[in-house]
Amino acid sequence: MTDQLRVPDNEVPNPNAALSVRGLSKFFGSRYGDQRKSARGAIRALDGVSFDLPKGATLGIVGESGCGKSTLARCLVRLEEPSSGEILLDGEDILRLSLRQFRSVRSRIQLVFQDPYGALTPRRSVGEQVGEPLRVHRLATSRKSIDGQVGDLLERVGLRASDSSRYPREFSGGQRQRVCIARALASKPEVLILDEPVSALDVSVQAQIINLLRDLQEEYELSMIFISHDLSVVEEISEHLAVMYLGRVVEDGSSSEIFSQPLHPYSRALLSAAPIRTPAERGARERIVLSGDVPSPASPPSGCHFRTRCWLALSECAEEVPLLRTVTGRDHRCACIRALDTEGRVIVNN
Amino acid sequence: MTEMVTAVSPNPASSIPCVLRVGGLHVSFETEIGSVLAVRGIDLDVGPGEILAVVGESGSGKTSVFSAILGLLDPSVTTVTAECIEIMDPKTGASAGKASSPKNLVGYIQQDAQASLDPVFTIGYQISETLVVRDGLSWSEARRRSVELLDLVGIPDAALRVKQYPHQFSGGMCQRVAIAIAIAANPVLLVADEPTTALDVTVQAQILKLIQRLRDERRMSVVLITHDLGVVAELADSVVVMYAGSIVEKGPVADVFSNPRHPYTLGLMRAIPGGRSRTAEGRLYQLPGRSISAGEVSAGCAFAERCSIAQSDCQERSPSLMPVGPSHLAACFHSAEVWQLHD
Repeated sequence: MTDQLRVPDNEVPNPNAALSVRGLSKFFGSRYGDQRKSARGAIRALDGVSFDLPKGATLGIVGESGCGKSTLARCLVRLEEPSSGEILLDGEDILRLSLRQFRSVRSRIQLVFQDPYGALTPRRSVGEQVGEPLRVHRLATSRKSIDGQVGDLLERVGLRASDSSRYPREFSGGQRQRVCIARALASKPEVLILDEPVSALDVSVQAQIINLLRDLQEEYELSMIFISHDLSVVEEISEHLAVMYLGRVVEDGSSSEIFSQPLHPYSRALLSAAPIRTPAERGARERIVLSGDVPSPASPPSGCHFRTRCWLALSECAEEVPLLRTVTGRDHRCACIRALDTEGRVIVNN
Repeated sequence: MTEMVTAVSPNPASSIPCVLRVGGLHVSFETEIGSVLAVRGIDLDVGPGEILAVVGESGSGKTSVFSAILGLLDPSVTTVTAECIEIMDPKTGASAGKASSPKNLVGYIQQDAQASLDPVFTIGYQISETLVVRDGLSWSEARRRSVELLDLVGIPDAALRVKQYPHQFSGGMCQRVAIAIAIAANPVLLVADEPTTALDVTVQAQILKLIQRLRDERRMSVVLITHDLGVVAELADSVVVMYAGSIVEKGPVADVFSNPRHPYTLGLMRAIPGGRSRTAEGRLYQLPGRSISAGEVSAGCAFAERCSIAQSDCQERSPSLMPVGPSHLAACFHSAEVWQLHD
């Protein structure tokens, strides 16, 4: 059930997409046994995820801890080997490549991690670390050319070329994140995946990094996947949005559309819980407070994963996994039988 | 707004009831490179039932202030000086001065609740321990009380849950347990350091609601130490903004948000995505430069280097908190010109 595509509406990969993901699943403990949590089976970190990342666009992925967003990031660069599904980079399924073949593709898709303290080794200079992708992918051979490119990259992200001989401990969190971004850009990737890139940073530094990413996107024509739990940051930077819950995409489409009219009950609750901006908004917004916690991914509820916390759930919700259906005439899909009818019409309910 | 200035004084008369009053607090740490200042002279007071938010970025000294007040700093490597630190129970009038232990009057929730619970003891034991050691309850009494406390902070099946261990609790529930331990002895003041930082937004909303409910039910005062202006907007009655170890602005939360009078406060608010954060070019507003720590402050205003309305006097003298509205103070010589920074 879970291994087949549950996404009839975007079964055919979009030819204009920089990256298309189809039915991507990752079960921990299913094949390797070491992380087996219960007799009922594997931990379903990703359960049939499909989406398209259009060229030059930013796709925001939001969801709470445990929804699989970091596993998704790691699967996209094959730091984790997905259990099933396809990842099409410019139409080519990178999961069919042997790891040796994948190496040549790897330079085109890069990842920036959440924690800029953990992502840099303290023992090597910043310049060595930024230059490493150039050496690994043999994009530059002479010492001189590597040094030159590293200097350019550091300057491009707002540091000085002379910083390349310094060590990570000499930099603040925001500067380290700039180093990580420079390193990710070194191999001139087409797709940049950012896993909570500003979550560990102070507000004023966050704004600097977001502005930098936006400039770099334009300059390098990057397609970006921006993973975050911070809705206001995602709204700021993404044109497209996917909302994840317990390993599945429950809603996706145009970011402005979802922010203005979320359809899935989970998206509605998530957006309503976002912090207010000024005290004047107190009580102005209707809060949907969800009861309880996210169920364990080792034994998710049958049917719709969200039904145990959903105030709209019917008995049918337990029976079948809801399909991601397109809202008629709009760039907006939602996997909820209580939000959309089979014709793609929005059902108004509370 | 300026005609009310005379009604305000930076140091309110001591007749106003206060649960916490701090005057002239300095904190410095002894390090290998010498003494490093972390807090540079802070005055604070918290009224009965008030929720005060202390806002600042990393290194602003916000956590050091309350670690010092609660006596949690290692005296061999820190120097704490203050004109006064007073914690008072508004009901009985009993107070804990600098000399006596404030711990019975104050409940403290550390940053990272999950890490502050011991993994090898049950939740029930960890709540009971506080009650036995601090309040002299018997273990059986304490165990009964710990079930009540878990119930009070909204953990279902409390009687079963007390027998479980921290790893069986989610992040939000660990935070609830930390709150239960902190309020076990009916403190008059609850100090919560980043109570929602590691939590998801839906859980964050639940925890903020809980803190508000406890305040309303128990008339407890609350200090929220946070970097998250959303939390402040949601919950606080008044707010203190810290930069480089000093207070740069304080006042009622509605006034500070609608009319920030220190350039740093305005910069922080504008840096949050959404709303008024865009500049004319459609970019996100960003504060220039980087935050400095208290130890790096030289003569003049600590924020002058990053401030676009700074003038020569800002480089020479350090501004102290000056009234800019009813109970609203800002440490800026040019607070009347801050509005120019809105564009």
